[in-house]
Amino acid sequence: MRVNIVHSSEIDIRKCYAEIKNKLESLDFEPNVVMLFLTESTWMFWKAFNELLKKKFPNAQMMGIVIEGYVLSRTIHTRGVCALLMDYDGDVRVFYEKGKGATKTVEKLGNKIGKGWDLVILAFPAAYFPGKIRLGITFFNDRIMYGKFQKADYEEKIRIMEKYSKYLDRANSVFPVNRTLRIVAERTGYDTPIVGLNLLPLQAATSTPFILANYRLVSPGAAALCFKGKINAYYSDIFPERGKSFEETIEIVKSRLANVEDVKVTKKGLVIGEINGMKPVDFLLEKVRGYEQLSEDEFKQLLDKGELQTFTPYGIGFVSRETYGFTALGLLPYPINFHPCIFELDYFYEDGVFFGEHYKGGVRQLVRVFEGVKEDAEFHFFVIDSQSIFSFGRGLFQIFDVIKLYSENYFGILLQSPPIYTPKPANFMTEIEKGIHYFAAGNTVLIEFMQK
Amino acid sequence: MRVETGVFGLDSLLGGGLRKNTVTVILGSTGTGKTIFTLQFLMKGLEKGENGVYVSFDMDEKGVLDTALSLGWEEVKDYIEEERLKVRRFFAENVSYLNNELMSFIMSGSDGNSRIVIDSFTPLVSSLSYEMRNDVNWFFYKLRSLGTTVITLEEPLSGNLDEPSVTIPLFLGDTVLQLKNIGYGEAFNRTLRIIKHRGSWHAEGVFPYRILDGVGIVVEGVDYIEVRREKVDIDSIIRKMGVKVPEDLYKKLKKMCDAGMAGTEEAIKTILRSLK
Amino acid sequence: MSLLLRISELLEPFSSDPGIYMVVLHRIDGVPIYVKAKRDKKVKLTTLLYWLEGQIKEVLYYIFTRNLSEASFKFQDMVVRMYPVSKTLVLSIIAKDETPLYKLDLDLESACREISSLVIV
Repeated sequence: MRVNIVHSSEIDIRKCYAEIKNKLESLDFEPNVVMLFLTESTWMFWKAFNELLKKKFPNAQMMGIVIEGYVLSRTIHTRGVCALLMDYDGDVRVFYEKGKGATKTVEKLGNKIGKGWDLVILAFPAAYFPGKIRLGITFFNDRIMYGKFQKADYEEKIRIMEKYSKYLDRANSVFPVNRTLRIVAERTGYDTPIVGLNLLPLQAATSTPFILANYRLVSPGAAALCFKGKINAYYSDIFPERGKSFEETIEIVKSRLANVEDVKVTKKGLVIGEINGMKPVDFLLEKVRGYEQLSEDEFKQLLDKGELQTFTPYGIGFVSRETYGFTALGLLPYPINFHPCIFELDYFYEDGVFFGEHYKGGVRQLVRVFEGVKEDAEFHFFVIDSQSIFSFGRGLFQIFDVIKLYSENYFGILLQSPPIYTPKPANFMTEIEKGIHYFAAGNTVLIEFMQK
Repeated sequence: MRVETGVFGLDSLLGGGLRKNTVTVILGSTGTGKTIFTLQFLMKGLEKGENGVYVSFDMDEKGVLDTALSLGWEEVKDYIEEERLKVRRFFAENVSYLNNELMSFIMSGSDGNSRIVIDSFTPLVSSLSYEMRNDVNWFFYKLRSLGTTVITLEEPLSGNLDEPSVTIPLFLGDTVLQLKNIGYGEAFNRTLRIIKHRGSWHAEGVFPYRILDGVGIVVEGVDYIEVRREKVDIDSIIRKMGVKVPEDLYKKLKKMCDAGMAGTEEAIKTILRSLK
Repeated sequence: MSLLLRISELLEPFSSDPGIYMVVLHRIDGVPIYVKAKRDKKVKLTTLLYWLEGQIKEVLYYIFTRNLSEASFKFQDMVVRMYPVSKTLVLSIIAKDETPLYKLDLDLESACREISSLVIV
C-alpha cells in the first residue's frame, strides 16, 4: 500500500491550486483512493480542486469533505487544501446516496454498501444548513408547531415533537448520529466497523456541510468509503468506563464535567421541547449570563458570511437506557423554539444533566487511542475532535509527543467529534447503543491499515 | 563592468559585483569574517591575473599567509612569491592615511586595475573628527585611481555607529556591507546586509552567510531575491492605461523594469497616472 | 533552496490573509530577517514596527527565563502577537483585532516549528 499526502496551506487560492497541481504532477504512483479535504479558506473553490483531481485520477474512488484542520508528521494546518492519496491493495469502493429524507437516504446507502467490508468510513451531515427558502420554512414550522406545543398536554407535546422531528428528517436537516450508524450497521451485518465523519463545521455557512463522492456533490446526502483488508478501527473518549446503572453513570460524569446540574427534559425524536419546563434557549440564557439569543436576521447574516458558530461549551447530557452510556448535545442560542438534536433522543432517559465542558486529562487524553496500535501497522489515519482547537490552542501540538511513540506513518484530520460503530465494544462511557459510540466532544477515532 | 567579489552568492546581491575603481567598506565586529572577506576578494583578482595589495594593521605577511592556509588557500604563498600579491604590516602609531609611506606602498603594487585591501581602516581613523572628512575623501579619491579597494572597519562593541571614525568612511565609501554575528550558533546569527551600493541596484534585507573551510564566506539568498524580483511588462501597462509617454521617460521606466525591484509595477502606475 | 526562500514560503501565506497586516521574523537584536506588510494607508504600521523591534530582546528574555510561550498586545484596533521560534528568532504578526486567531494560532505554531528546524544548527 502506498500513501502520499499532498497539501498546500496557501491562502491565496491561485497559489494554493498551483502548489497542489505541481505536487500532483510529481506523484510517482497512481492512487485508487483519493480523499480530498478542504478547509474554511478553500471550500468555496471545491469545484476547481474536484476537477483537478478528477482529471488526474478519473478512476479513483474519491471522497471529499470540509474539515477544520489536518495533522501532518509534525505540523497542524487549518488553512488550504489536503489530499490523501492511496494505492490500496485490496477492494475499495465509494458508495453514495442523495435523496429526500435523511433516514431513507441512509437506508438506501446502507443497502448499496451491503455486507463483506472490513471498514466503512461514513460521511454524513450531522446538521445541514440549507438555503434561505428552506431555512425560512424551518423557522416558520418551528414557530407554528411550538405555539401548539406550549398549549398542549404531555402526550400532545410528544406527538408534536415527533411530527417536527419527521419534518427535520424529510428536509435532510439532521442525520442523527446513532440512527445513521445503526441503519448502516444493520445493513452491513453488524460485522463491520463504521467510522462516522459526522460533519458539523465550527462555523457554518449556507449549504454546508458538503460531501463529494466520486467527484459528485452529494450533500445533503451521505457517502461511504469502504475497504476490504486488514484494517483495525479504534475509538477513545475522555471519560473513564461507564457505570452499570443510571445513577452510577451520572456519578462518574459529574466528577468529570464542570458546573453540572440535574435537569428534566421533554424530548422526542430529534428535538428537545423543554428543559425544566422552559424553552431550551430560555433555559440556556438563564444559566449563562452574557449569552444573547440571535435574531433570525442575525442568524441568516452569519450563515451567509459563513460565520455561524456551532460550537459551545454548554450542553445537555443524557444516559442511555440500553447501555447506561452517556452522551451530550451542545446548546446554542439560536432563534429557535425546539432545539434540534444530532442524535436520536428516544434511547435516553428524560432525566439529564446540564454542564460546561471540561477536558480532564489534558490534550494527551485525545490521543490515548494510539496506545492500542499494533507494531506491524503500515499507516494510521485518525480523526480528532475539532473543538480541541478551542480547548487547547497551541497546546494541541502535544499530541505529537504521544503519537510519535506509537506510529511513524500517520495523518489526521480535525473534525466534529467522530462517532463509531464497532462490533467489539469495550465498555466506553460514550457507548450509547450496542456498538455505537458518540459524545459531543473529545472523541478520537483511529484507523489502522496493516501490512499485508 | 563589474569586479567580482570572490564571495560566493554575493555578486548577484550586488547587481553583478562591485563597480570598478570604487571603495567598499566592510563594517563588522570582531569575528564576523572581515579578514576572510578581504582574502577572498584578493584571491578572485589574483586568479583572474590581477595584482593585489594587502595593507594590514594586525598581521604581517606570515600572519596573512597562515590565515589563508587555514582555509586551504595554499596558492596565496605562490602569489606572494611571484610578487603579484604584496603584503605589508603597518603600525597605526607611526602612520596616518595621509602618510607617504603608506601611499607609496599601495601605489607600488597597483596598476590602476588592482585590488587593494586595507584591514582594518579603524586604527588609521580612530581619532578622526568631522573636520577631517575632506582628508579621508582625498584618500579614497586616490585609492579609486589605483584600483578597486576593500577596507574593513571595526564596528564598536557598544554598537554606537555615531562616531566620526565610523560614519565618515561609511558616508564616503561607494559600497558599504555590514557583517553581523550574534554568536548563538543558529542559522541567522551570521548575516550580511548591503547598506549602500552607489550607482547600482542591490538586494535589500539581511542575508545569512557561513564561513566554510576551503571556500570561505558563502552568502545565501540569491534564489529568494530572484523570486521576489518583479517581472513587469511596461508596454502592456502603458497600453492598458492609455497614456502617451515621452521617449526619455519611457527609457527611464524601461530601466526600472529591468531592475525588477519589488514595487516597480505600482511605482510605474503612479508615474503614468500623473501624466494623465 | 536557500533558508530565506524556504522561510518566505512558510510565512508568505500569512501575509495573504486579509485579516493580517504584517508578518515579521525578528532576530534577537531587533534586525528583521523577514518582513511582509500590506499597503494600507489607514493603518500606520511603521510606528508599531519600531516599537516591536524594541520589544524583541525583552520578550526573548522572558521566553527563555520565565517560559513565556507567547505574548499578545492590543493597540486600538490591532493585535500584535509574538511567538518564539528559537533562541534568537521571534515571529510577530499584526492583525485586525476582529480576526479570529484561534485557528491561525495552529498554523503559526506549525510555521514556527518548521522554521525552528531549519535554523537550529
